[in-house]
Amino acid sequence: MSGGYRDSVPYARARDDSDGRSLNDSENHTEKKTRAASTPARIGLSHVGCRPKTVDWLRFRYDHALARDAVHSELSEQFLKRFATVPVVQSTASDRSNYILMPPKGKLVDLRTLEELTRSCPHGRDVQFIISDGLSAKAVEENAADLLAILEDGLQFAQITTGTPIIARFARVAIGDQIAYALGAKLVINLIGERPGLSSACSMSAYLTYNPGPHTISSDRTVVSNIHSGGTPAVEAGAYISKLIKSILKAKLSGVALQQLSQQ
Amino acid sequence: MQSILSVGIDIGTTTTHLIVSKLGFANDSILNQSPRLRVAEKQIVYEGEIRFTPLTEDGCIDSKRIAQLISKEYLAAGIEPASVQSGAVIITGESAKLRNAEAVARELSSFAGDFVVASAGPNLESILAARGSGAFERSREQGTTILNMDIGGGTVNVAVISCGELIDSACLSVGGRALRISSQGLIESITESGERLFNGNGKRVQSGMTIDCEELFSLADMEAECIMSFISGAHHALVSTTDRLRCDYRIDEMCLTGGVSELINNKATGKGTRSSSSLEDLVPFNDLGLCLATSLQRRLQVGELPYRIPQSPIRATVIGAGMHSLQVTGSTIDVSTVVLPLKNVPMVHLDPGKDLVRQPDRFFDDVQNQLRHNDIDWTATPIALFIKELPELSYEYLKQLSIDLAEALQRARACQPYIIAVEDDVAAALGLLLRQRLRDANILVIDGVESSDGDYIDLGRPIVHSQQGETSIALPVVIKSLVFK
Repeated sequence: MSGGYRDSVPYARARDDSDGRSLNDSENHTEKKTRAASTPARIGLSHVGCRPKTVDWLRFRYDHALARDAVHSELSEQFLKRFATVPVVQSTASDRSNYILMPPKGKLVDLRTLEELTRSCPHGRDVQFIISDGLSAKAVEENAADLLAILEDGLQFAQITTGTPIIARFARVAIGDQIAYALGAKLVINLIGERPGLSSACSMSAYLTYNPGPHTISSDRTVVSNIHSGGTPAVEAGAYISKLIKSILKAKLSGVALQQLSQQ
Repeated sequence: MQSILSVGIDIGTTTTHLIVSKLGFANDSILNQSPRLRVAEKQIVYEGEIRFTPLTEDGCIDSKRIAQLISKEYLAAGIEPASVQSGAVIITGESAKLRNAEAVARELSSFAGDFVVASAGPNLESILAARGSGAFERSREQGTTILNMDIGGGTVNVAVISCGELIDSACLSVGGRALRISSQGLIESITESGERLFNGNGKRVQSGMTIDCEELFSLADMEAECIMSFISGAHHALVSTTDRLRCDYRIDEMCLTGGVSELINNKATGKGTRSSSSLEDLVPFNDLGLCLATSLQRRLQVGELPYRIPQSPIRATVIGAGMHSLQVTGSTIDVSTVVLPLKNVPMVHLDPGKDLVRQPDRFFDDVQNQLRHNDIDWTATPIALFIKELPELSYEYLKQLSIDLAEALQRARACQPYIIAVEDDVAAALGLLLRQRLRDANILVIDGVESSDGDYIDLGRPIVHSQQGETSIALPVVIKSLVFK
């Protein structure tokens, strides 16, 4: 993510404000504490009276802008070209702002689209992949490809069958239930952009649901979240998820029921 | 959460002692992320007696007596060597310079369940003392800069910790036992460094001389002055074993550890004051220790820096030894086929710049060269390949890396298990990719391993934990060096 203005604002990953000079004579105690905390969160910032330093204020505005852009972002041409052979569908939302204003529309594709998928995609596989833009298309663009590649390797190695990945625009997690049910898949995995935060605009989650269908509710899902370069790297998450899928298929459970089983 | 037993053995210039602690692990990650363990708590289970380091007549460490000593401690502690999963033997101070130090380390290594780390070096000692005293933890929690000073029999080890990170360290080769003296005031011996210190300040002292209380105190003052100025950044060419402290930071407080600091603690009883006329009272250990403690205390009280002495100051290094070097890896893949624990595995550092990925030959030669240097036969002993800082964590890059690694390992007819350690969080991914290429091989890939300049690695028994219905395995590892200077 390079870009003219962003590069001119020195952006530290951990709050390592070595450029920030304290405005008092002695060292700023809270600034040191913040360094020690090594978190990207904005705590212990220096100030002049009741105002923060300009560079911190600018960073905040910048991060906020990134988050807002991410929410309104759509999957780029470049990304879609990379997955040229993969079907791209759209939920019943008409456009991005319709999707954001009316969340339930993101849970379904219309019947015609569903019929087309049923005709063109393989049925009865163990695992069905869905890639959704969710609330951050950027997150998916940065992380989905790497994760999917290694996940496919891992599942192949474990001799678990997979269907064709499907890309869904203006989509929510539940859209995977509808599609996978129609395709008779045992487990659906939905790679979806998380709602952006001020420290990360590109974080992706993977939602795994066993036996997906109209009966599925949130507690039936197992989630692996915070997949991004500042969290769990996409490749590693992919490898971890391949093991997770093995466990889910063996137990024939996901979500809370699976957790309760393992706690026994 | 699981816990393991860890033993620390400190063989110092003056004293030797042992500590057994229980280290507990906590899972740092939150529910929806892949697991990450770390050492969360440490509980001292047994504290051995502090004994004088046994030396033979010709000035070497008496390995037989040390072994007996350790054996007795294990008995008293009620533990079996086999139940100990981690730990360290540290030979510190002047003892490290003794001729047979390395031999003793190896001997103890095989005695005590083959788990031990043996290393020496002034900077490491300083770090261990600071860790054992809690300075690291305290400075991290409070965001302060702490100077930890370990004043022992033969050395003074200083470490400066800021916000939980080491920023400076230095060492002086004088301590409480710079000279040994009888209760009548007869100087029995002076260390080389001690001689340089005293004579350098115009004091003519030799063994065989008899001195009185005043002279004793003036020597102690001299040493105390040297120490205090050293921590202010003075350079003492004659008696320092490292560079001086940089002092380009501001210190918030001091922490004192080591045998002499223990005496400062005891000063409350009133012993060792200058008005005491009996020399015998001033030398309870037949050395400069008590007087040095008095001199130091006076200077510390007058000085501006607040200081504290933790509960068991003399044990700081050994407490540190038992817990410092231990790391916990990220979740590994499939350890079931690899027999653990594995000790003393030679470690080779690899630096896969982007170029390396396209030149598998260089990769192979890189490893070969390092091994030849250490006289290790890759086909007979399993080795660990440590890869620090991967330039990228993309699928394509890792796939190519796994291809190169697989080729190199097969070409070299490397001994199994193949062990790969990485710093970045990619063990499961790399392991999976390697397994695709090395179908039936015994492979172990671990991540979250912090880089260090060690030559060997110990891999402990796996710690199993489960969340989300998924069982994950982490390994406690110790990276160590068996190099003595």
